[in-house]
Amino acid sequence: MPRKRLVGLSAGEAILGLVIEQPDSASRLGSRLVERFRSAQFTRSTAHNALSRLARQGLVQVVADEDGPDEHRYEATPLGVEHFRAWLRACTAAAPALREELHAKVEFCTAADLPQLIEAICAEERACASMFAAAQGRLSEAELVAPRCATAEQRWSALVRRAVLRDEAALWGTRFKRLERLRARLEELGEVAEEPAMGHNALPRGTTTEAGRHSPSARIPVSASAHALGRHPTHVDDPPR
Amino acid sequence: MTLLSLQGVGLRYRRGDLARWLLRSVWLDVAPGEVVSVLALRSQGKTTLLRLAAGMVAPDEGRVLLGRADLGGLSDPAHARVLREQLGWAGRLGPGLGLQMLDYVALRLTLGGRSHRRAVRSLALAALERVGVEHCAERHWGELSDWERVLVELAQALAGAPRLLLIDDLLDGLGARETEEVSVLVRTLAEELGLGVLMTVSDPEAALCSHRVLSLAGGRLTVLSDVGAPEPGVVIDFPHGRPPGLRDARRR
Repeated sequence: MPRKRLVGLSAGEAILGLVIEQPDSASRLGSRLVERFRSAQFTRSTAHNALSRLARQGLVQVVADEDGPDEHRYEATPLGVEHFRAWLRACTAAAPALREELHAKVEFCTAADLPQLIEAICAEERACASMFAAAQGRLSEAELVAPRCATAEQRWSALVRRAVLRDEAALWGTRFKRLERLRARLEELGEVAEEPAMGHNALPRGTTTEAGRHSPSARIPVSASAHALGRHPTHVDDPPR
Repeated sequence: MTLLSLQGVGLRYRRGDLARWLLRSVWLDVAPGEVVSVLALRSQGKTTLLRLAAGMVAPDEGRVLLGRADLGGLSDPAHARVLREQLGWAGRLGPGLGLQMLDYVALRLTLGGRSHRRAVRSLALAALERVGVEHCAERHWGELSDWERVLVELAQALAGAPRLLLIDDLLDGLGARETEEVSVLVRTLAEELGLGVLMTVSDPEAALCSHRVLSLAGGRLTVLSDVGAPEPGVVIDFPHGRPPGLRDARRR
């Protein structure tokens, strides 16, 4: 299941924007939503739910479709247009919540969990790489479209789309590099945790015992090894005896 | 067809007693007309990778082929000839001499064995014109903006009509517009001239125009994206006007 991390754009605003751009049937709006905001990983059912919510709020309405009798066509109400302009121009000063599942996992992991966690990060790196590649592909498609635009309006939307795609691709690339770095950090922590005398690094000289130096340390919590690297000075485990 | 081929290349880093692998089992091919970007942070071995590709450093394992020549097996004069005739190097250091830019570019050509002064100067000027910085011909490195330096470096690298262009972190820290312009220019040059380009970047955005993007970290090279081999006429936005003679074939 795709996980949503940067809690920002809701499907409602995206759908409302699409309806204003071009009134359409629910199923076509669904595929436009999925297609247009690929990285957001919306599904068609998200589109249906968002549409009925928007209809309840009186922001969109159903009109009879003269072309296809079997499907309803949605268009924005004046209230919906007003709501959308207000949303578009609103100041979003607050940063979106960063609900990074991975960060929580690292916070709670012990040395014994490290190998699996590192493997999970590897998998996520690969996923980011394919998102990067996909965004790069969409970008080169968009770049083919831009010079063919006949009207100023078309050209404008091609240009803004290009700006978004560039940023998106760069974000995936950056995320890939961040994950790579986080993984390198954890791999270093793994090495620290494996050093037999690690628990003593945190202690003043002279308190080491022979038994402590050779005790097994595979189960030392990461908080202790993090301390050896000079981080998280709040919690130090007793040296193993 | 492959222009540059790094086959299982590894390099150890030695400082006193300390020895570790800086690069390990690197496999990398660059075809003519192809732009390959290596995305890495600092001190991950980016420049070293390019130096390996140029044969300036010998690998501790594996081999480096340019065309059919194994760079490790060349004599010094033969290697010097390869550097002169087949390679262009664009970095961020500049000439390091009090030269006017026209002479800087011309110097590259003189090293390449050309000696007719007037011919050399007109070739050098053509190289500067090609990337749109002919107005810098009589200026010194210190008088140029960062943006002009980038373009002069490219002109200098292109002057000798190389087959392989090595670009070391040239786009690092440029603004959004400049990054886009240079990366599009590099791709245009590659496809138009059939140049192979191996480019190191630290910003993912600088790699967006590349056919292939690789990531280098911890001595390993991984594939980030592979948009595919170049097709004629794919590039659409030309910062300095449409290059003459480029076919108008579009993809799909």
